[in-house]
Amino acid sequence: MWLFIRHFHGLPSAKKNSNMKKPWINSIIILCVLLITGYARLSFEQKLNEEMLELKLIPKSYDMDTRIALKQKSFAAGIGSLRPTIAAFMNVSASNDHSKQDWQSLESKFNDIVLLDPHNPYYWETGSWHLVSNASASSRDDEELPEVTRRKLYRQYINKGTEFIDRGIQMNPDSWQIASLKAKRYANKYRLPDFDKAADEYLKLSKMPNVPSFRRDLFKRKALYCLAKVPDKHQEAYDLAYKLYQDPNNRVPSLLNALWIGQSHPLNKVKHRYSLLDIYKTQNRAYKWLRVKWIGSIRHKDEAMYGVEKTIRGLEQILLIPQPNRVFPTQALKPMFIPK
Amino acid sequence: MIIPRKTSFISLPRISVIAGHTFTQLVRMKVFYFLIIFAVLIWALKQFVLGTFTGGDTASEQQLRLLKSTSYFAMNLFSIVMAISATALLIPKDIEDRTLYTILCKPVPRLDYLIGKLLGVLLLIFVSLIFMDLLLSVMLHYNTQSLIASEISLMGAGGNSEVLQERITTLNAHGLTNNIHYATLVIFFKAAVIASVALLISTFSTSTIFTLILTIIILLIGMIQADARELILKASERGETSIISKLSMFIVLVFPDFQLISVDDGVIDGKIVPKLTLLKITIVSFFYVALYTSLSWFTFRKKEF
Amino acid sequence: MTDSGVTRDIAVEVRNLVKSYKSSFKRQTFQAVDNVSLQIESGEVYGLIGPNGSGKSTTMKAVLGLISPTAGSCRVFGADSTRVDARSEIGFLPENPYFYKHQTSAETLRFYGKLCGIRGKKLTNKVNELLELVSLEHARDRRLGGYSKGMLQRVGLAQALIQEPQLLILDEPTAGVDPIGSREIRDLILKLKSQGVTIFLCSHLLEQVQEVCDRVGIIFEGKMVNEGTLEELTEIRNQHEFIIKNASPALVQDIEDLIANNQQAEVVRSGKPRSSLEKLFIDTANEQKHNKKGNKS
Repeated sequence: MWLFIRHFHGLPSAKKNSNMKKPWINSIIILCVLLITGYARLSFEQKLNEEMLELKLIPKSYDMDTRIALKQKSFAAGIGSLRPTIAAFMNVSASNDHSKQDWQSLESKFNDIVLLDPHNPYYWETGSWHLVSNASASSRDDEELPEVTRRKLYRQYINKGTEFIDRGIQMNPDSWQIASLKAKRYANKYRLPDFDKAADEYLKLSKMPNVPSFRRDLFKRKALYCLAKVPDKHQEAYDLAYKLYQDPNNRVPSLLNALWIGQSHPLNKVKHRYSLLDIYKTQNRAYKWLRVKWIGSIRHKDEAMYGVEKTIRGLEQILLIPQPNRVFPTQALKPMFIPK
Repeated sequence: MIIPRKTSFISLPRISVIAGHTFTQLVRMKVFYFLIIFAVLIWALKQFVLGTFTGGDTASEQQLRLLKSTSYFAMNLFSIVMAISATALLIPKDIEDRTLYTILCKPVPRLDYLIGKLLGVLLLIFVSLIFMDLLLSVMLHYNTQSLIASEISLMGAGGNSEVLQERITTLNAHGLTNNIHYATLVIFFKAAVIASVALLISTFSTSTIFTLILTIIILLIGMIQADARELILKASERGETSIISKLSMFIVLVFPDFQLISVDDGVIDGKIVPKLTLLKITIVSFFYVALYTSLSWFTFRKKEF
Repeated sequence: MTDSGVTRDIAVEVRNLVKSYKSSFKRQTFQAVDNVSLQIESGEVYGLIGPNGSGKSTTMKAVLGLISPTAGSCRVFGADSTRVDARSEIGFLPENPYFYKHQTSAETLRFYGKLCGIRGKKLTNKVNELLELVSLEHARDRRLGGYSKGMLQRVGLAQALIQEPQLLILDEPTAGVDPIGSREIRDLILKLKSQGVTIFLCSHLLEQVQEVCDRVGIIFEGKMVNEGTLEELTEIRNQHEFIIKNASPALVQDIEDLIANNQQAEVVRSGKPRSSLEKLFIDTANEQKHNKKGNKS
């Protein structure tokens, strides 16, 4: 009986077994094909990846920590184009924090926003502006806090804003827009300015590769205006003003004033002393621009202005400026005519 | 004497019949309603969100960026969901409803059936993406023009013409360019690769849920694949071999790199997609689709129902 | 492999077909079809009958190439059934056919016609012709979602006929169809038979099989247990039947007397002896069960 069954089932079962193994064989074949094609595409893909990173088409992996932070924050971060959208909505909600003056929440939101949309200069600008200008001032003026804390918070937020900009520069080393935020931050005369550093930053900016040429000149002039505010850098300021003056495109009123002041500084070594008419072309223009400069500087008291008072006085005599309109009236005025 | 007619191994007309049929089937499943949702989304965005960007030198292009990022997100979402679910659902549905019997009992090679199904799903995604791309293009064009007009009117009198020119250039770079369409095309490629992965899994998976989950896992792994590759390269530079680097190697070799098939991040940032790069992305995508479709056929060719 | 001269008149040839499945949890194998052989000649109507789960559908699927044999082979008009070519001459109606619910019957037929490479005016004509044949012209533009079971069965039949196949495989063609519809389908089968189409059907509605089939195979637990022409199978071997025309009562009496005088023979019944396929089938099934019990004990 046993033999009979054996005979009956013997042949098919041998074949059947090979059939049973098939799923495994199939899986192994598929895995092998995937591995082989994986090797084949590895270098092409790596090159394409590098090319796309170069073109900024895909986000660079800055460091693992940033990535992990981001991925823990939201699953959605996996889908590329969602990130800027989330960033935009967080920006809307951060503006509510601004109106509620909830600076801690605003700060943490902007830290996330820039992770979500790291190449967008707008968020670096807005975030740093909130920290440097708004959060600092609001803390300084918060009368519920003790004086020491207020001063501490004021500095702290300005520093945080500066660090925020630094991070932006680190993530976007090619972006002059973000780099310019740092220069602007140091040149901001209302928030712990550092004109020396600002001048440095502007000079660096003027040398960045992808800056439009008109901006390059502008940055150089801004570097000059910042240098002019650093008491020890009068010689550097003059040298730069002299150098920029050589290009007729640079001859804007502020630069002309800076050159005039620079060559009037008693300690400066002057390369070539230009006459007033050389610089300003007409006495009227000289008077107009120097007057603007003088009045502005009196308001800010942030810059030494050698020779300006003397020149204005002289021009007011020569041009017969009516007494009420003079910066330096030679007659006593009725109180109502004192210039503001 | 009856001799069975020869049936070619692969036939374009037959594939197009199955693809056309799959497309109709999906259309009649009312998937195009999503396009209405898309249009409403874009409209709501314009109404309620675009105006919230104020201040700063780059405020105005934020509107264009947001328009792009939201549209691309919706395109990604739609195409990925469609690619995974439609592909994962259709073949098991055919088996369950026994419609597959009637198809495979006609002289239809299984490869034709698979390619037809895949192309049907892709055709639907393609048509939807074209619609969304058109809507995005119109919105982008209109918004860019109105932003430029307002820049001109703001700076027009006595403004620096170089600054104005720079603003216009920036806005145009963020506005409607060919790059917008390239990004849409690449989203389509990504969907095609995902669909072919889902197709492969559905040929051996026994449940739709399994297919869906496995495809999503592969998608997620494929998105961090570039990191794994970087990890290996760094480790091999240092001459290290750890379990993690071996595991990364495995991931790199076996899983597709979805990060390569995506330029929308860059296009949202106003970056340019060179044609050569686009071509390379196309090659990579076609390679993946062909690979996974071939493997699908390999498992499906002897599958028993 | 086979000499073409031999296969000329053979529409379906199943040789020593074995199909086994592995149950997923235990390491046991289940033999769905066990060494089944059958031949269907061109133009013949062949019925495969057996209880549920006896291997009818598996055999059909093997002929259709939906499954590949564990051992043995299936050929359709000489072509290996695992090859796509074999299906160009096959029309198949599955059991309880479900089609795409979103399509109308006309669209369904067009779809299957296009799959077979029929296009244009030829396709339109064929679709119209078939809709008329299965009496569905009135519902041609309604979606199949709203069709009754009988209507779906008719769409299925029309679909199977779309490329004018030489072999029609019908899996339970009348299951769930009302008696009138069932009769229509039977008439259609006979009509196709008269046109020379080979038909391979499986059913458990035995009366119908009896009505249309030239030859029948009985399959039980995967094994072919009986096969032959209807006459052969339904013959009651220890009985004899005379059908006499114009017999006078006296002649009948004489015959009865003659038999009465014989020691062994007896008249069981006079008139027309009737057996049915159904009886035969049940007898065979019982016999098999009995044998199996015997083997175990």
